[in-house]
Amino acid sequence: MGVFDDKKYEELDFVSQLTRPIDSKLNEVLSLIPESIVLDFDTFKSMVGTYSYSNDLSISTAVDYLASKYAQVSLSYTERNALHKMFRFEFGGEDVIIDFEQNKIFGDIKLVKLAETTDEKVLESILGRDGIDACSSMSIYGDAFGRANEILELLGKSEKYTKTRSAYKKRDGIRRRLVEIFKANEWDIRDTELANKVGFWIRDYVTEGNLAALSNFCRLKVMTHKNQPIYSMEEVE
Amino acid sequence: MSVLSDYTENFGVSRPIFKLELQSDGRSISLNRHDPLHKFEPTIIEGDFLSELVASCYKEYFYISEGCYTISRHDIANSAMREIRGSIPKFLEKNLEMRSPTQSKIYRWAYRNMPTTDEFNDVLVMLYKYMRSFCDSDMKANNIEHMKNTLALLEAIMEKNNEQ
Repeated sequence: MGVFDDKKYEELDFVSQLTRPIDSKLNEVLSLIPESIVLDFDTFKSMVGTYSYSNDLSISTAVDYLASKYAQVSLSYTERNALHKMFRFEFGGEDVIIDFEQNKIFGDIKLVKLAETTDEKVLESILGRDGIDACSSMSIYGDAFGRANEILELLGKSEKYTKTRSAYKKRDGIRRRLVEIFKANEWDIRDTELANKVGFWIRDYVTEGNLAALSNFCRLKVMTHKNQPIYSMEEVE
Repeated sequence: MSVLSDYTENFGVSRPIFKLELQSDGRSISLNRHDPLHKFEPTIIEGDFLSELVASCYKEYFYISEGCYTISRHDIANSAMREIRGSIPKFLEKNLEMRSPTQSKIYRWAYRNMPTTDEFNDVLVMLYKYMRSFCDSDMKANNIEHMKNTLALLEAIMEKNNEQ
């Protein structure tokens, strides 16, 4: 396999290569969660219990619990927000009573899955988001200033941020440029995990001088010139 | 303050049984911990103002992780004592025949400088019981003789406290 080959894209069938769907582990997580789950007392308490001062159970909290239980994954804040639109609580009957003395729920509570796959628009909105959040909190001082400028040049359209001496503005410039790139789909990255890695590579290189991270970022940048969607790439560890 | 603590001896807690509420868009389920199906109400002894006060300070807490209500008798008694201490400056504000009662020496002493010892607290408890026999819940006196008597008592207590 060549350095710039996209193995995942080459394995896609002809129709998928044309339609370019976004690939995401969220769809796999969604498929592993049952269509409908009846919440018994223990499940209800386990879902809420992590946040011991809260007496409410939100879809977000429930989804986080189910992803951990059925798919053995821990979701980021962005992923939880994307998935929680795919579920709804339903009550069977009018009154549902919870009894902490008998450890029982009287009545039915169901968590119902509304779709088998995550909406493409939702996946588009979360592309690269976790990586951008990682960049938003990076510290830029000393040698990191120069590395931040290198990244800004590679990102392009960032002249005013390379000139500034403010670490805050440089960090903001990197963040804004990444938001622009993903919003306009400039690089045509169609895998959510790969899209998130962009921000993490940038953070690792700028703050720590991690050359493997820079190498990966540069490889990805080269692949954006191939005029085809990007699903995977060979990474340097 | 042990008098106040005695009133809390028979205090119980609500049974942790709730009706669950589903938000209209199906996005969350909540239980109202202030409104259990079997709520405990402290018994008030009729005509006993201290009983009424301590009952009004009743507070219970519920956490799902614990699965039951808990109370702190000590905190309830302390809360009642704070109300009693606060009633003294309130009484003075409502009943001193002055244009600015809050500027008076006695008011400022009652508001800031009353001792915090257990003995003094016991005195305040007895004084509160006496004051409530002729005052409304807002500490406004409806008997001038008793009101003047109380003002004289407070002056004497203040003078004695200042000597010490």
